Amino acid sequence: MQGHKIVLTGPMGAGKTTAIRTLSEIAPISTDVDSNDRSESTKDTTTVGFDYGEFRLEDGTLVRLFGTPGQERFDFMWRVLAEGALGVILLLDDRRPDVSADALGFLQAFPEQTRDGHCVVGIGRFGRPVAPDVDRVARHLADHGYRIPVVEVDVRQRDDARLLLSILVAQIEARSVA
Amino acid sequence: MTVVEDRALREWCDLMIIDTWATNRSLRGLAVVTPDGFEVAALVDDSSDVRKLAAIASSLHAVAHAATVENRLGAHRTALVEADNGILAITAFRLHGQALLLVQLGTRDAMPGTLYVNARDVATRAARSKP
Repeated sequence: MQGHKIVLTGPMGAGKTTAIRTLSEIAPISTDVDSNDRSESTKDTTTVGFDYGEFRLEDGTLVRLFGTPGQERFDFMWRVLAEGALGVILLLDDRRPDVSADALGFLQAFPEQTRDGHCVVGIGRFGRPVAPDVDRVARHLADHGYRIPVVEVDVRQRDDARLLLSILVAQIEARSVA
Repeated sequence: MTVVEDRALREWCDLMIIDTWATNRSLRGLAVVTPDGFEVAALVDDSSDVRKLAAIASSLHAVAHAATVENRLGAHRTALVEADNGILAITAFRLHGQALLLVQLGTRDAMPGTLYVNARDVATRAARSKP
């Protein structure tokens, strides 16, 4: 069975690789290498190809998870990985200067999925005392025509990562009925 | 200090590229890039975008490496893309302890064997080089 293809995207350091490691029921495939890029993130490693993992929904449907590189210079991989994807999970890091602009940029990079609302946005919870401003990002996206759920998540936690997937599946099912 | 900030390493790569380019008529691009897709040194014709070439080489190498790991093929060395109008060869090598990628963009007349020989020569010279 081919199953569903879901893409996880977002800027470098937002937690895409971690989310796939958390969710995957097989040993994930990773293309992480040492990072020389200190302008985008202080992370030691970065994904330059893709991450891959698999997950089964309660009804047995196979979900294939593909994580993209975060940096714009790898945008050719975004297009490759978007091919045939049913939906997109966008992860954001609110430690970055303009999280709303990040959100909009990535949604525009995946028009096939996001224009149909087959998308969910997760803003990382990185142990900071101030919670990310989920409402502000949601309003910004709505102002640009994207009516998409935006939630606060810690993708290191399996329940949080599964929540993102559940919301996305609900979005897809709701839109296919409408 | 990151790889791209290492002046001695960059100079070695610049000289190696000039040398290799001079003895190969079937190249239209030659570059050394980091595994995360940054240019260290490059010599390309006007039709090539080094920044894009570096990123693509990085992704291709990483995917090829994942393929070798998943299929237990041992250490990955070269990924070769052969097309109607040329060849792209990406070869991993080490210089002064740093992992790097040699990217060769061959013309329609380029032969895979020649690119392999170039890559082997570069890897051998790099292994002998002292920081």
